[in-house]
Amino acid sequence: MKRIVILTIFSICIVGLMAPIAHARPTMAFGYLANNSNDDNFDYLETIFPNSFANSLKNIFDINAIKPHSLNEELKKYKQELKKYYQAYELPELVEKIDSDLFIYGNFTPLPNNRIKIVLHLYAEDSNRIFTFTNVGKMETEIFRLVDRITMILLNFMDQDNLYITKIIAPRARLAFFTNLEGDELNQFYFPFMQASYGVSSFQGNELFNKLTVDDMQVFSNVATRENSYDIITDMRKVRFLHGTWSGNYHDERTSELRETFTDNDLNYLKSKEAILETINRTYNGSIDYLIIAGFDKSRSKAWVRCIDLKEKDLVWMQTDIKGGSIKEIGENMIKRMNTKIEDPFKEQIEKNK
Amino acid sequence: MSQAKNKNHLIFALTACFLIFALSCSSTKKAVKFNKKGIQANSSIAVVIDSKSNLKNVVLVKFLAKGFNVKAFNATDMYQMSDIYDIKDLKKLSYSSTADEASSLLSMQKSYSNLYKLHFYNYEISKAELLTEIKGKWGVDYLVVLDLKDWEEVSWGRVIDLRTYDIVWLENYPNQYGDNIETIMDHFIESMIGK
Repeated sequence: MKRIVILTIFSICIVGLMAPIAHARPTMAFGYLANNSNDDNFDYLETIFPNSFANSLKNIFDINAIKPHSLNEELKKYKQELKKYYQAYELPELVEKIDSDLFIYGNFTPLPNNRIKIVLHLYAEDSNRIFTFTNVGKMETEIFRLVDRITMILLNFMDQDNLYITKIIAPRARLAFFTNLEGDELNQFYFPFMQASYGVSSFQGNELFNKLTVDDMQVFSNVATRENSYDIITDMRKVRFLHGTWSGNYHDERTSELRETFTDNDLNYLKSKEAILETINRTYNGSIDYLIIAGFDKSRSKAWVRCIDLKEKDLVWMQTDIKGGSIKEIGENMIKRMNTKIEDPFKEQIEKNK
Repeated sequence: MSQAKNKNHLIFALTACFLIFALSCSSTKKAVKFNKKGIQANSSIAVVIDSKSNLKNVVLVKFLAKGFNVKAFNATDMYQMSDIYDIKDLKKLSYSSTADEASSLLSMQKSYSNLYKLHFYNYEISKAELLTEIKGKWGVDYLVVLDLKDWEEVSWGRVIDLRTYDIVWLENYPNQYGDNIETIMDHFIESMIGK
């Protein structure tokens, strides 16, 4: 019964997510999961995995799933073929061609001790953002277990609150908050965490004012970390730094500065980001475990969250639409979420198949 | 008789509406208080407050009278968001000065956004470094951040342990009728030393 309820909610949510696209049945296209190892024996999984994800989702939702083979056939109309690897900037064009709401592709790497690393990229039409996550786990003997594990992550992300969480953040963890709250509002937010025995760092709370607005915070909703990220797509093909003998010194200097800015803050941003996270970690003498970035709306009735594990330098929790009657209640709901294991909608199915 | 009954109902309805309104207002001004550990009254503190000088003197006297060793006062001058160069200005300048490269610049949106984020993270790092300096050079144990408000508003405070950078005390205090800066300070000091 519980499973039916969960699945019904998921169905409603996925339709809600795709609503602006106005398709009766959302279309989800699956690309290859490229074999990143040198062992050709694993090549067969390049289509087995996406086909299984598609079947698994189709079993739950009324979706139109396009599997790699059909996708390849579709692309042939445009004299193209489905590639194993894509640059992020190629995705908007591709998704428009195949007329899909969501495109999912990725890669896998078999690891020692019968483990496997799966990296998936999700791109929703017109979003201009790409969500990437990495899952390392046991290479299950029954492949459906592994497929279910990944499908569960997909389901949660496609839910209304775009949930992605990789671990439980239990009380006693030391947290630093970065928000658009100040003064007594910030105290209201800190309060439930302190009450629940979390350590709250003074990060940002060591001053009287905070100039960040709701709009300013949006910039922080994009997160780039080593294994998991939710980030803007840049079309590098459109970036030009033209200069020459015709341009003169001033123009050349400006172009060179712009190129440097682009290199440090786009192409190599991950390096810059990791460096600054390490500096925060060092400056605070390793006293912060997690950096929680929380953007509150104007009415302070809901918030989104991005949580970075400062030691691992990885995105471990992402969620939108955390609601509450007050800032304190939103904080309490965050604590509930970060301290609770996600229910596995496939648990019953696995038990049955045993 | 019936008219009197109606009048009673009306008064009751109005009172109920007023109570609901008052409760909804007070919910946003709800007091919160958390004290991780009592702060010893002989601790060395630095106080950050944004008030007029005569009011700052009252705050200073209140801390001194309780035995606190006030090492620095009104440290607001040391760092303020409003004093920090806002990188958004740079963004506008760049867009307008190179309109001929509009397409390139639009694709640089991510660069500017990321630069903006790094600027804020760097700002937090600078503040933490400053706090380390305050602790090391002047032997300050705690940073006290205070904002004292007028009647019907919420005064609030926070204490940061500079050894761990953790918040060890916080309180939102909705000012009561009859409160003044002295009574609010008395309340806050008693609260932070754990009485």
